[in-house]
Parts: sequence; C-alpha cells; structure tokens
Amino acid sequence: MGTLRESEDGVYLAAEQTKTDSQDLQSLYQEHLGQVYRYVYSKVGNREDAEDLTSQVFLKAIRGVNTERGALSVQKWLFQVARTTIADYWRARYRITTSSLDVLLDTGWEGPAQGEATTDNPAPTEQVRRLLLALPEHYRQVLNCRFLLNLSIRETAIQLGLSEANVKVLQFRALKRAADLQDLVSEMM
Amino acid sequence: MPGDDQERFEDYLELERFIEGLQAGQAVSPPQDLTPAQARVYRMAMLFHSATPGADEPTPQFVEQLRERLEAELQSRQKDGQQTHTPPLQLAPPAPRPRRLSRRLLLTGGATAAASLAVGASAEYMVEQAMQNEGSQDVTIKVSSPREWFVVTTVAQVGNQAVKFRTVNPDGSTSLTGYVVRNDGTDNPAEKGKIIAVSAACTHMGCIVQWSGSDRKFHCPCHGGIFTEDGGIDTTASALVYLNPLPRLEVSVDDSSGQIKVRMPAGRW
Repeated sequence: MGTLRESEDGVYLAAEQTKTDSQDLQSLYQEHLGQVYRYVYSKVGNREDAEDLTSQVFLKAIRGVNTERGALSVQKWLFQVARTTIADYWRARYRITTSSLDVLLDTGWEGPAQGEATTDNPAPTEQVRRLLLALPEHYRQVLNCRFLLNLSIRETAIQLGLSEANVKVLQFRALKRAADLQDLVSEMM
Repeated sequence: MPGDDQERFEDYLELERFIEGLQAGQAVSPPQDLTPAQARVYRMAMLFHSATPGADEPTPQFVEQLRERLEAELQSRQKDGQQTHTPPLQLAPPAPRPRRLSRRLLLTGGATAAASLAVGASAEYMVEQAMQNEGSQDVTIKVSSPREWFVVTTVAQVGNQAVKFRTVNPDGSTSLTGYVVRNDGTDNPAEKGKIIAVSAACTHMGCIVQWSGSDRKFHCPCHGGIFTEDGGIDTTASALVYLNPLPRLEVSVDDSSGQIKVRMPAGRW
C-alpha cells in the first residue's frame, strides 16, 4: 500500500505544478493574445500568416529561457519576440541579403524600432486613426474608402467622383505620405 | 525629380493588385524588388488593411486551437523539465559571484568561465553555473517516500547562505528541488531567525529559481520573477507581481544537534 500512496503523491505533485502553470499560461494568453495577433496582422496583412506567426510567438514565449530578459515586462518581451518572428518571416519570404534587410528594418519595415515607443505599443487601429488625421483631406478620403470602408477601386472612384486610374495613383501617394508621417506620428504617441 | 522617387504606372497597378489581395484575405506578399521607400508603402497598406473593421480579430477557432497547443507544449515541457533542471551535485564552498553573467564575467570571469570556454561549453551552461554557485550550497538527498522527513543540512552549515537541495526518487528522478535559508528578518520580521524551506520551482512556469546572496532573494532565470527569502513575492523588483509565492515546506530543527529536516507539507501536493 505504501508504494501506491507514494506514486499517487508523485502524481499530485506534478498535477499541482501543472495547474499553477496553466493558470499562468491562461492569464498570459488572455491578456496578450489579441494584442499580439493584431500587431502581427498589421505587419503581414492576412489571417493565415498572422495565425501562424502568432502561434510561433506564443510557443517561443513558453519555451523561452533568456536570462537577459530580467526586468522586461511580459508584454514588452512578447512584442520583442513578435518583431523578431516577423523579421524572420520576411527574411525567409524574400531571401533578401542581410544588408538590404537591414535597410528595410532601419526604415521601419517592422514598425517603430526599439525604445520606449514600443513598450506601450499603440494598437494598429490607433496608429491608423492618427495617421488619417495627419493626412490631407483627399488622401484621407481615399484611404478611408479603400481600407476602413473596404470599398473596391471602382466603388471608391464613384464615391469620390474620380477615375479608377486616379484612385490608384492617389492611394499610392496617400500610403507613401502616411509612411513619411509615421515616425512623426509615433513620436506624438 | 530624383530617379529613386520616380513613380511608374506599373507601381500603381502593382500596389492595387496587392490591396485587392489583402481585401480578399489572400496571403499576398509585396513584390521582391522594392526599394525601401516602396516597401514602406506596402507596409502602410498592410497597416491600414488591419484597420478594416473586424479584419484583425483572431477567430475563436484559432484562439482555442492555439490554447490547446500551448497547454500540450507546457505539459510535455514539464516532464522534460524534471530532468533538465537537475543540478550537478556540488558541495564545494560557495564563492561570491555576480548574479547575472555579465560580459565582464565572460571575458575575465576567472577559472569557471575560462575552463568552460576551453571545452566549448555553451553560454547557457555557464549562466547556470555562475548563478548556481552564488552563496548557496547544493545537497542531493535520496528519498523513498514523498512525505518522509529528510535531513538537509545543519543550522551551522546554513549560516547566512541558502542551502539548495534536491530529493531523488529511488529511480533517480528528481522529486523536489528546494532551498533552506535562515530568515534575516528584512522581508518578514515576524519570522526573524527562523529556518525556512521553500520549493525552488518558480510558480510562473516551473523553472528552478536561483539564490542570490547579494540581495538575499530568489531569482527565476526564465522570466525574471523574484522571490524574497521566505518565498514571498518581491513586489519592488519583479515584473511578474501576479505570481504566487514559492510553496513553503515543513521544517523541523533539532535544537541540540542543529540538524535541519524538511518534508513536503501535507495536502497541497
């Protein structure tokens, strides 16, 4: 009987530990999944890849053993993992040389670089809102139609009283201007 | 107009194809040969697309699938963790070392680091070593039953250090890793001078916490959790303030011999 009791206790020990961990995991997951997913989505633009990369981020998070992380908050660390995961994704996808990737990263391919700006990572939708406010009226209108209202190029042209060719030019320039404004806008956040 | 900024009609068409792909929910990639300036335009397109109402919400199926996958991963990790965290038997006298493996320690950090480098040991191993050795002694104890009393050390041996111990089942697996420490009263005046034993498994994800003699706290190497010497949460320094305290173990001190015995508390295991 003694032996049976012992092995039972052993099982209880493991079960107790697992319970604690899975509670921690649950809170980690519930608090941050939405944020991380939306962040990743705003960088890759489609559900399939966003799901895949978000899974990678959380799997790395629970495997992660990094003594340097120390005082970093869980959230900040998750976003760091997310950024490197997204960088790896583009690296694999493009097989571009390291130097040209660096140029892309420097120019903000992945969003705001290091520093405090990323700690309170503004939600992508909030970034968009601020960028729209900072843009001239005609650019704001075309981006609003194409993205927030999800209109086709044709519908947008009708809505704005422009030709479809005009809309294509306008949306290109609007996004380009938004990219130029992004650093400025993130500083204000 | 500088050549780099020249927009070609094809650029507009290419971007439009990309945006249509985004709107259709396809896994589209920006073209390969973009200049950095053009790449930023495509990045903006993805950012704005994510602001399409409802577009960037994770589906409930995905949320559930990933949760299950993480749970499974955590479980299998737990089983492996029992073995990987087994510390080597060390009875060498403690030597004060910086808690974290600094660059300086790596470069000039004396015999351990140099020897480890010479045999090609990984940095992780050295971190483990550097952290393990600081102001704590290691004891391995064979146990045959989970709730038996086992002798860890003596009051004299503990002194101002922490004694790290692990109990080993008859089959060689580690059943418990813990520390014995004397409360110096700074964190918990009510128990000043009392001998305390705690489980060393961090209540976050089960990594083995390391004693740091310099601040008299337990530090988790995995996610930076910090516990006071009586196993409580160190709210001043830890980012992980929502953690549970380290589980306390039962302690019995023999007044005449100074022998310290420990066992698992009833019930909670």
